[in-house]
Formats: sequence, structure tokens, C-alpha cells
Amino acid sequence: MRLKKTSIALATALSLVVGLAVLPNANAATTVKMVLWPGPEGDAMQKVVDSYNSSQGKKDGVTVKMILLSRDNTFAKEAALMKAKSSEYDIYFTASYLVGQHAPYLSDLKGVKDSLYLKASVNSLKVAGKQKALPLDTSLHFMYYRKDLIASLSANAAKYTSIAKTVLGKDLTPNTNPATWTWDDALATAAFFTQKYNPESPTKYGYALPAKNLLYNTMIWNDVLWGLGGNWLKNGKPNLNTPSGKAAIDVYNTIYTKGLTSPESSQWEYAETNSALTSGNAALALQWNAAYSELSTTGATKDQIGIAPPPGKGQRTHVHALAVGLNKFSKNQAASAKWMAYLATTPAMKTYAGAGGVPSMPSILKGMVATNASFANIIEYAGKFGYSESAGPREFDMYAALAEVLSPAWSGQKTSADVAAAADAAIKKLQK
Amino acid sequence: MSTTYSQERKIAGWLLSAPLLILLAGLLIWPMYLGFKTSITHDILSEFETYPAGFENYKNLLVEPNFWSSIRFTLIFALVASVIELTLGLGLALLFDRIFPGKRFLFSLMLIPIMIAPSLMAVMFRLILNENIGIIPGLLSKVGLSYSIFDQNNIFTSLIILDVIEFTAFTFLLSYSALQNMSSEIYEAAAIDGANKRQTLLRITLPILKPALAIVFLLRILDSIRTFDSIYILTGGGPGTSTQTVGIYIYKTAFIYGDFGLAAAAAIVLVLLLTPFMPFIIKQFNLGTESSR
Amino acid sequence: MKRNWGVTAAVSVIVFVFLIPLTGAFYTSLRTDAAIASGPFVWEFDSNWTHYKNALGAAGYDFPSFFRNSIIISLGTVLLTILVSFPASYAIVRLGFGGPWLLRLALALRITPAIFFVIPFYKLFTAYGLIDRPLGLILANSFINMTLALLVFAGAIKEMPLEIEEAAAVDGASIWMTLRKIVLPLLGPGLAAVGVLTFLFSWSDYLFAVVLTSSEATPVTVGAANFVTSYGVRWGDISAAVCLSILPPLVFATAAQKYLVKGLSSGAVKG
Repeated sequence: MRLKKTSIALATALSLVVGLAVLPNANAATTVKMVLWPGPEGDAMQKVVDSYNSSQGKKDGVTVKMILLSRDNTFAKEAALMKAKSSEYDIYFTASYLVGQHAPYLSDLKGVKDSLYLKASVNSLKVAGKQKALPLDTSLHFMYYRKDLIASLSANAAKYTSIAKTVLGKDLTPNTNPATWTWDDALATAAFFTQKYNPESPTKYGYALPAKNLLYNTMIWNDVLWGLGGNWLKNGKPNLNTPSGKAAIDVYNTIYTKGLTSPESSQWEYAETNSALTSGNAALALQWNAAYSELSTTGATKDQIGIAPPPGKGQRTHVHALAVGLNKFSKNQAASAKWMAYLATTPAMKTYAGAGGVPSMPSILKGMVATNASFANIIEYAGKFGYSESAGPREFDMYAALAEVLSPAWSGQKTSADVAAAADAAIKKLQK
Repeated sequence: MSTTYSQERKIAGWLLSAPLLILLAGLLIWPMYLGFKTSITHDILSEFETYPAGFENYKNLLVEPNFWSSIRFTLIFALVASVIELTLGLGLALLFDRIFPGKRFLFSLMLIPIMIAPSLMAVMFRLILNENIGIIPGLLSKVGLSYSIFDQNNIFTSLIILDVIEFTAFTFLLSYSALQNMSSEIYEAAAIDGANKRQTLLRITLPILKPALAIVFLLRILDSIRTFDSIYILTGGGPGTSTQTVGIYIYKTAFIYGDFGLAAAAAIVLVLLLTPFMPFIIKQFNLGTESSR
Repeated sequence: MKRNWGVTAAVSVIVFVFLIPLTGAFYTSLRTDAAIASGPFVWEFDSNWTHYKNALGAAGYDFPSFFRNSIIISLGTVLLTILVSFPASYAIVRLGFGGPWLLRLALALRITPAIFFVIPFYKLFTAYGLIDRPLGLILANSFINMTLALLVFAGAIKEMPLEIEEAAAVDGASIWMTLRKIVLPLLGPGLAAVGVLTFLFSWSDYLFAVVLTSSEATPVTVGAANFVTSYGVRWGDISAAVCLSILPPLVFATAAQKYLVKGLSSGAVKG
């Protein structure tokens, strides 16, 4: 009997406590949860979040909470959440190459001022004419080269020509302006700085080739394809089993099979490519703009790193924007929209840039060239050479499928003739 | 009397198994059902709507060469790695099965590889094996060796070595614990019979340990069939699909290609392919119940 | 007593080979970023312990709470796994419960890629408020480690001489008494091995943690992965995080060893 009374009392107390904990406090701000990935973007965004929470957020009645997930897992986890129609997070992290896949789970954004942004970036986040995400960082590629090495080319013209003849079977003379390179120039220069052909070369290999089966490596290879006049699609049909497609595969294949890059590079990605340059073992690489700050300050490339657009007759660089989109199933649509509206302003992006981000707003990038010289190149290249495939909702999958099909040829296991048809088939399979 | 005893046994059986049954009911049956339902659904991330697809996913899977090649790679890899790990683990356990200075300390150190998540271990491998900044290639070249760890011809060996470094601790710990159950009388009897060390090991220790070692081997095989993190992080399954395990295939299908239906079908086919061996394995390893004796 | 220094030397060499990844991580964690990027033998050490400071929270990630979560999750998993598997193995082996079906099911479970369970678990745990809670991960990890525990326990119980239990039954001991007073003590080394392995496997769990936690219950494995950034890897920081992350499981494994060695001191070797 007594036990019963005690338990009733206990239960009442418990439900009161639980009730109090669950009942929303009328004055409390709405918490908006946002997913981002760690690294420079996450670090920079934390500053923006802090500044919003302490000022504008108070007026809006919104508190933003950022959750960081690691690189590969960010998108994997988001995929699971989206499929479960989860409302756990209000704002998802996305990117130009993913927005097609994510679009069904994102609300349309209104009031984004296109004119504030790099055109290539803001447009890459539109799906069927609707703005699905807000651009944060713009990413594109540079041809990085060692200035000290390129400067030494003209004094060795005869040797250069003879090495180019041996390795590539072509008559070439040194071109000391990488901004005007064709792929032949780049390959010949890489051969010249490979010790196998030139024992006096200060670097063991001329080139650092990220040839791992990884979808981000397909993005880099795309520059080669486009630079040689190719494209994934022609009139909506797969277009890689063509002379230009095969020529682009052959550029990578030649670099690998001729030993212009390390045999280990068949498993390289961003980090390994960078370390090949900073350790002084390689002279050139097509690499992401984000590498500039490390390359310009570290190791053998310190103060010696030069930037040029990717080689080619019609030079092109992949360009994409990292972005944030509003979860369609979020229960805090209005509050999230307020935060997104703040994020779309110049002051917010100024804070972002000040903390290490690379916002897609040219006006801000221009103002910060003094702190990071590569910002000038980003504005210039995005406008002049920026390009992206528009391959529909399964574009992300195509990058992965192409990495899978092409990587054996990139790393010399197969030839362009072996894989070109399979590449077309892989694209076709993912087209709707 | 005998009915009440068998009844008591029956009730006790239910009671003792109740926690397990509850856990299984909650975390296995329902997810299994959900997984099966996904496998017969057209469920792709880039398409908002899902719809029943019958056995479409299974049909597609059966003609998907990458799936079958990944199963072949996985089985070969799992078998080779498990055999080496079991042998090394047992050898090490035998070496440890005596008193020597520093034993406790070394024992704990030996377990360190399984304290590190496979995904983080793979990142550490990326670091120490990096041709330009890693200590292993650095040391190799200092002694005049040039060996390409990630070259296509060496990649299989390299991945096996990495797996061995990571999981021998597991086979070692279980073998060692099995050794602790051997009674000293057996050794004494063997010594009286004049058996030397080698004879004792081959004729007495190993046969007695066999059932326990079989369990260790089985667990290791099962684990290597489903793990994927290390290889995925190091090679992405490539070049091409040459190092793609079935775990990587399923992960990529679900989370890169966003095809949850096909991924679920692949997981189910994998389990179905291996389940027929289960009764055989259980019988072989003498894991049946008392009543079957 | 003879001191086997020869064995110590041989074992040390072998153990060192298995520890090469950790040694590499430790070496890296002490060096400056510039030295790491320049080559393996650039001798430039960081006197400020920057990487360790970052791995303990200076980088903006809440590592103290990651460590706390890992400890709660791993200990909880050990308890739950043993609680669930030990009595059930006895029921399966000695009471003939469930025939071999339960073991078969457990084996099938072990081959099923964890990915298969990820989305169903996410939905299930969301429905019951277990997302981003240590309890959720304890359940998921126990579920995964159950097979190991069941097989090891079943194997060990089977090897036990049936006579002792029969004698106990004749003396009128109930099944519970037999279990507690006879089987459990005899299971010593197996129990310790399962405990250690379950702890280590839960400690190093990654996939479930990624999907089932977001911030409150994040364990140290997922926290350390934050140093694998959008582009590069923060080698020094992640190395320091790895070195720190093995300390708690190292302490646990050393403490649990006593029970593993017990069998040895009472059995095979008598000084």
C-alpha cells in the first residue's frame, strides 16, 4: 500500500520533470541545426555562426547550431537522412555536383541576389530554374608549377627538345609561360623534370597525378577532356568514345606509363598530390585552388609556386560551389530562412572570408587579394575558363562511375581504347 | 519428477535467453523486414518517389559483373588474410603462454591495433606509407630499397599486410584465452610419457585447441567479409574495381550512387550466398547443442 | 625463477612491428606541419605541442566530451553484451534452447554488412528518441558484438566438463546457482577476452557512430575524423588524436588482463 503511494508520487514527480523539460519555453529562440564538413569551411562558418548568434540572431529569435561531419561521411549521412525524410537538421550541406541528387529534399530559396555572386557558382546551384542552395566556397583548379624550375627551361632548350622527342615523339621547344601551355608543353616540361630522362632534374618526377579511383579526381581529369575539345555529352548522348575523349585519357595514361609521375600515384588524391609538391619530389600538378595556401608557405614550393589555368587549346577549369540548402522536411522553415537570408549578405560573407573561407562573392575576393594572391586568379579563371557538365540529377554518380571506369587507364593498367566505350556505357546507364 | 525437471529446463531456457531474444526482436527482425522491403523497391536518392519494383534489383544484380568480381575478391582476400592472422596469432599466443619479464606491458601493447578505428588506421597508413612524407618509404629508400607499396603488382600483398597488422591482435587474444583453459595435468602427463615440446604441441595442444581456433578463424573470416573501411580509404576499390570488396560495392551503391534498393538487394544476396554454409560450419566446428551429441 | 629475457626480446620485436602505424603517428604528432609536409626525416619538432592541444580541444572540437562518450558507450556495450550473451549461450548449449538456430542466426548477422542496418536503425532510433544518445550506440554495438560473445561462450561452455554441473544438480543446486557459482568462474579467460574485445570493438566503432550521433553522443573516432578535412588531412592533429584515443582502452585492456592471466597462474604454470 505504502509502496503504491510512493510509486504514484514518484511517477507524478517524474512526469512533471519530463513535462518541464519537454515544454517549449515561450521566450526561447528557435534553434536551427546546420550540417557542414570540417576543415577551412567549417572553421570559417563557425565564426559567422557565432557572430550571427550574438547579434542579428537575437533580433530574429534564432540560434544556429553547426554540426560537423567528416568529408565522406557528410554526404553519406545526409543521404540516409534525406531518404528517411528526417527533420533532424534544418540545413544541409550540398555542392554544385550534388544539388541534382539533393534537390528533391531541398526547399526552393527565394530572394537570392544572383548579381552578388560569381555567375558560374550561383548558376550551378539552380535545378530546373529554381535556386536550391546558397553558394559558400567556390572551388576550381590551377595548374601549379615551380617558378624556379620553369625559369631554368630556356637555358636548356636543346636538352628539352631532345627529351620531348624521346618521350613524346614530338618536336617541341620550351614554353616558359605556363598560362599558354598546351598539354604537349605540359607533358614535355614534366618529362624534362623527371630524373629518369634528365638525371640533373632537381625533382624526381615532373608531374604529380591524382589517379586514384575517386570521384573528385574525375573532376580534375575533366579539365584535360575539355581542354582538348571533349565533353561528356554531345546532344545528350555520351561522347567519350571519341578522338577527344580518348586523347584526354591518353594524356593521363602517358604521364603514368612514361614514368612522369610516381608509380604510387595510382592511389593518390589531394593530400598525396600536395605532399609530392611540398616535399620537392614533383614539379607540376593540376590541383584544387584550396592547395594554394599550403603550397605557397611550405617546403620546396614555399614562395616558388606559380599558378596558371589548366593547359589546353580551349582552356577550361572545373568550377563548383559548396553550398547550403534548406531541408524540405525541416520544422523550422521560417527561422532557417532568416538565417539563410543573413548568410546571403555581404557582411556575413566578409566574416566568412576573414576566417579563411573562399566565398563566391567577387567583391569580397577582390578586397582580399592581399591576404591570398590566388583569390585574383579565382575571379579571373571562374569567369574566363569556368565550366561544368550539366548531366542531370545523377551527375554525382557519373563522376564516381567515370573514376571507376577510367582509373585503370589513368594508371596504365588499360589503354584508352579499352575503357572509352565502357565510359560511355557507364554514363548512359545513369542517364534518365 | 522428470517432467517437472524438463519443464524447469524449458522455462530456464526461455528466461536465460530472454534478453537475447528481446534484443534480436528489436534490432534484427524489424530492420531485416525493412531491408527486404527496400530491396524490392525502386529507391534512388535522386528520385523523391519510391515505388515497388518486384525483383528488378535482384535481376540487375545478378548480371552486374562488379558485384560478382567484388565477391570473388572479398573471398580470396578474407581467406588469405584470415589464415595468416590465425597462424600468427596462435604462434604469438604460444610465445606469450609463459612467464617472462614485461609480459603484461607487451600484452597490452599487442592489442593496440584494434583500439584504433579501421577508418583512422587507414588514414595512418596513408600517412606512414606516403611516398613523399611517410617514414616507411623513407626508411626503405635509406637502405637502398625501392618498393612501390601501391603499385598494381604489389597492392594485394600490401593490403594483406595491413590487414594482418590490424587484426592479428584479435586472433592472438582469443587464442591466448583458449590456451588458458588447458589444464596443467595434460602437459604433465605428456611430459611423463616422454613427449618433446614439438610432439606436445602437434599431438596434444593443437587438437585440444581446435574447436576454439575454429571459432576464432570463423569470426575472422566473417569480419573480413563485411569490413570495408581500410581498403576503401586507401584505394577506393581501384584502380578500376581491382581491389573492390563487396562491402565497398554495397557502400558505394548506397551512398555514392544513392541506389538504396540495389544496395539492400546486394546485402541480402550476400547473406543468402553464405547462409547455406552455416549449418555445415556449425557442425564442423562442433558448435551444436547438447541434444545433438 | 629463471628470467626469460630472450622471450621478452623476441616478443618486443614482434610487437614493435605491429605498432609501426602507431609509432609513425606518434612521431608525426610531435613534428611541425612544415616538417611533416617537407619529408619524413626533416628534424623539426614542435615545442608547443600544438597538435596535442588541437586534439584536446584547441581546434574547436569538444574532445573531452568525445572521450567521455566513448568510455560510456564502450563500458555499456561490454556490460550489455555479456548480460545478453552469457545466459543465452548456456541455454543454447546446456539446455538445448533454440536448437542450433540461434547460433546460425547470430552467424548470419555477423556477415551482414553493417551498412544494411544503418538506415533501419536510424529510423528505429529516431522513433524511440535514441538518436545522438549513448544508449542508442550501446544497443547497436551490443547487437554487432553479440555473435562474437555467443560463439566464444558457447564454445567455452561446451568444453567444460559436464560432470561438475551434474554433480551440482544432484546436490540440489538450481540452474541459476550452477550458472553463477560454477559456470561463471570457470569461464574466466573467455569472459575477459570477450570483455576486452567488445570494449575495443565498440571503442573503434565508426560507421554506426557516424549515422546515429550528431553532437551530444559523438565518440572519439568520429571526432578524430574531423581532422580529415574537405581537401587535405591535418596529419599532425589526427596523429595526436589517434595517440590520445588509445590511452583509455589501453588502461582497460591492462586492467582486464588480470582475469585472462588468472587461468594461467592457477592452471598451466605453477611457478
